[in-house]
This record gives sequence, structure tokens and C-alpha cells, in this order.
Amino acid sequence: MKYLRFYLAVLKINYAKLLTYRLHFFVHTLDSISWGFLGVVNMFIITSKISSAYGWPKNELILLASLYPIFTAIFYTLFSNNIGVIPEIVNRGELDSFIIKPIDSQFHVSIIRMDMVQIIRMIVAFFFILFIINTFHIHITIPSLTLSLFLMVLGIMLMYSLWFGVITISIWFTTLSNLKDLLYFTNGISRYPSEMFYKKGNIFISGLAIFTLALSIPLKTLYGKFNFLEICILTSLSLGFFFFSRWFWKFALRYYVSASS
Amino acid sequence: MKFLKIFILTTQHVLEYRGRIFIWFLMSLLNPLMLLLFWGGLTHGNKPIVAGWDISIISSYYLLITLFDSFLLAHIEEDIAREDVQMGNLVTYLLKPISYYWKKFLEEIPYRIVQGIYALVLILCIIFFIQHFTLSHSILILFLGVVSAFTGLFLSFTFKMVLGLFSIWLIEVQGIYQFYDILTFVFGGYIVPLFLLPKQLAIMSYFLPFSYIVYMPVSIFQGRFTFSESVFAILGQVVWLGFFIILYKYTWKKGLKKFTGVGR
Repeated sequence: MKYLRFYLAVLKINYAKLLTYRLHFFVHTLDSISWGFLGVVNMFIITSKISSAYGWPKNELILLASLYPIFTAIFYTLFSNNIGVIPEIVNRGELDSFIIKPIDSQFHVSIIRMDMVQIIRMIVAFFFILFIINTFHIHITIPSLTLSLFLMVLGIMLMYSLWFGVITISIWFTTLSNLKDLLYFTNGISRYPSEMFYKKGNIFISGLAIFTLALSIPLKTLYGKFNFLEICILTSLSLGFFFFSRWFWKFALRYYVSASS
Repeated sequence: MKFLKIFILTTQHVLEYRGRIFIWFLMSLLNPLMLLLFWGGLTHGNKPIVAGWDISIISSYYLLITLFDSFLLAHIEEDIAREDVQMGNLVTYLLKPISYYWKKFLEEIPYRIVQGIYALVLILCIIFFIQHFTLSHSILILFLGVVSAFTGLFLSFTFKMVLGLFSIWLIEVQGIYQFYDILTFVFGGYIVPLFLLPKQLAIMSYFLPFSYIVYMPVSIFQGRFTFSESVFAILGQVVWLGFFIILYKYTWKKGLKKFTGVGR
């Protein structure tokens, strides 16, 4: 209950901040929508020369790229601003104020800011997906949509855990404030089909497939092409990485040195 | 001598942040690597996917894009906007007996060198493993490639200087920088080479400056252009460089009249 009240207070504060700087709001909205649809443009250009790739027909590849803006909009609204600013908080020694409060520090640091501009990107992307589904005559059922939404939540949990685990490194390497920019780029990997990374014989490249699972599996489920094994893999990875991120954060806090106190 | 001293001091400063520069290099590597993996998985042996787009050309294209992006693409505009204009540090440059343009150039070059070295080492390792790579065999063409690369560096830097100076008039410049990044991505050959773009986009790319920064040097080094085409590409770069130099001088002159060093 305490956490719910805290979250509602955070929502009110962030909503009030939303239109304080109107020009920034307008520019940020345009930016956000442009970046979101850049992936779609990317896929349109790539697929202009091919009809399918890795077992995905052209229209499914475009739908995968079209889901990316809405998926990342949800993630960016809730988490990216918070996780991205952790290196600066650590560098300035301001993590103390998060640690000493009677609330879980990972929860506190993960939700204090919300990028509500991304909601507009989400709305625009949603209508674009409806357009794509209508254009390509994609048939979706209620059960597949429900399961797909559940898997997207798991995908967001996986993305959050990966981001948080990587950013936790900044407790030791306090000058790496551009880690968040790298993570924005790695998110872009989820626009590609996961089959692209399989059987590459290289552990690093195959490991990148984790980023693609967050979106590929929910989309395949939306089509009714779900694979029970892949669903289990996504569920296990999401829960596994989430608990790892929590353990890693608590472990890293032992090494945190405050500059101010 | 003063230029050398500035360069050495800046290099020392840059080497303190070699971890951050490595992260920036990884950012420039990721997208071409994804596209390389995407296209590479679609090739079967040496059979091209489309004419002029086989595994050797694909590998060399995206690896050279990564290399030249690291060496040539300047990122000075945010430093100018935030540190020099908004925080008023530009005042200190005005009092020094050195051109602001060349001072910022000497500050940017160590970043390009360090990031470029990271790129070169990693790319040599990748080439060692994948064994598919295409470069021109002509010394003359490779020489033109080097000329084109240097011209691209100056073009990128001058363009970014102009963008940085826009912050004298505009409070919100982040939007412009983001828009620049998007246009560079689409029209700069970062997705596919220009000959694979849809026709309208390809034509627009040749008339915009973005492809003249990285794409032209890459294409020359790959041997895709003949001697005369390489010369025309370099001429195109020089024309755009001339345009941005004139725009920079105009922006600088007008900007100095508007600029106020608050608190200085």
C-alpha cells in the first residue's frame, strides 16, 4: 500500500511537470515520434530488396519494426529516464537520498521520473499498427492478443532488468554516464528477428538474441505462431534477469561511496 | 607550436575518459553490426542478394562505415551549445589569440583518433575471422579515398560547428541535433548504400550533404567509384564544405553580436 501511494504521488508530480516547458515538450514529442518511426523506415528500406528473411515474410518484418515504437514507448515512459540518470546520481553522491529512505532503493530509483511525452508516441504508434494490420490483412484473435500483451509485459521486465544490470556497473565506473546512450542503441536490436542471431557460432552474437526475444516472441504469439519453448525461455529469462538485477544492485550498494557525506 | 601544445593537452584530457570513448565507439558499431548480421545471414556462399551486394561487399561496407564514422563524424555541437554558449565559456575563447574554429578542431581531433583506433583494432579482428573484405586495389583510388576522408572530416566538423552556434539563438537545440542524426542515418548510407535506396531517397541523398561525410569515402575505398567518379565525389564534398564554411563565418559574425556571457 505504501508503494502504491508513493507511485501515485510520483505520477501526479510528473504529470504536473509535463507542460512546464512547452517548447521542450513539443520538440521532445517530435523527436520521440521520429526516432520511433526511424526503425520502421529502416525496415521498409531493407525489405525493399527482399521478400522475406529468416522465415519472416516482409509484412511481418515491418510489423515487428512497427511494434518497436510502442514497446519502447512503454519502457521509456516508465523506466529509461530513471535508469539512465543513475550514473550521474552516483557520480554526484546523491544516491544517499535514495538509500536512506524507508522504501526499496531499486524501486525508488526506478520510478521517480516518468517521461510522459512517450505516451503520445505510444498513441501514434498504436494507430500506425492498426493501419499496418489493416493493410496487410493480419488476422488477430482475442486469446492471441491477450497472451501477446502478457508476453510484452515480460519483455519489458526483461528489458528493464538488462538495463538496470548494466547501469549498476556505474557504481564502480562513475564516469560512464554515456552507458544509457549505449542502452538506447542496444534496444534497437529488438527490431530484428531473433532467428538472425541463432547458430552464429559466436557466443557474443548469439547472446545479443536476448534483446530480440522481448519483442519477437510476443509478435509471433500475436500471429498465433507461438512456440511453448520460446514462451518458457522468455519467462525464465525475464524472471531470472530480474532477480539477478536485484541481487546485483544490492551487491553494488556495498561498494557505493558517497561524495557528499 | 601553440596548436601542438593545445593538441597534446587535449589528448591528455581525452585519454582520462577512454572508457567513455569506448562506449561511444560501441554505439557507432552496433547499428552497422546488426545490418551486417542481417544481410550476412541472407547470403548463401558468394551469391549476391542483389547485383553488387554480396557478402564481401556487405562486410567491407558496414565495417568501413563503422571505421569512418568513428574517425570522421564530429560531435562538437553539444559541447558548444552547453558549455560555450549556455554556460558562457565562449568568452574565454574570444580573449585568446587563436581562432575559435581551430581551437575546437584541436579539441575534437583527439576524440576522433582514440575512437578511430578502437574501431580499427576491432575491425581488423573481425576481418581476421570473417575473411570477407573488399578494398580497391588501385593505389590512386586509395589515395583519393584518403583525400575524401579528410575532406569528410572537415565537412562534418564545420557542419557541427554551425549547428552548435545555432544555440546562440535557440534555447531548445536538442531537437535540431536529433533531427540531424535521423537525417544522417537515412541519407548518409548508414542503412544501405545509396544505390540500394528507393530511387527518390537515393536522388535526395546525392543532393544533401549527409552522404558526403562518410558514405563517399567508404565507396571510394571499396573501389565502387571509378577515378572520375571519385574526383566528382570529392568535388561534391568540397562544394558542401565551402557552403558550410561561408555559413559558419556568417553565423559566427552574427552570433557574436547576439551572444552574452552571463555571469562572466
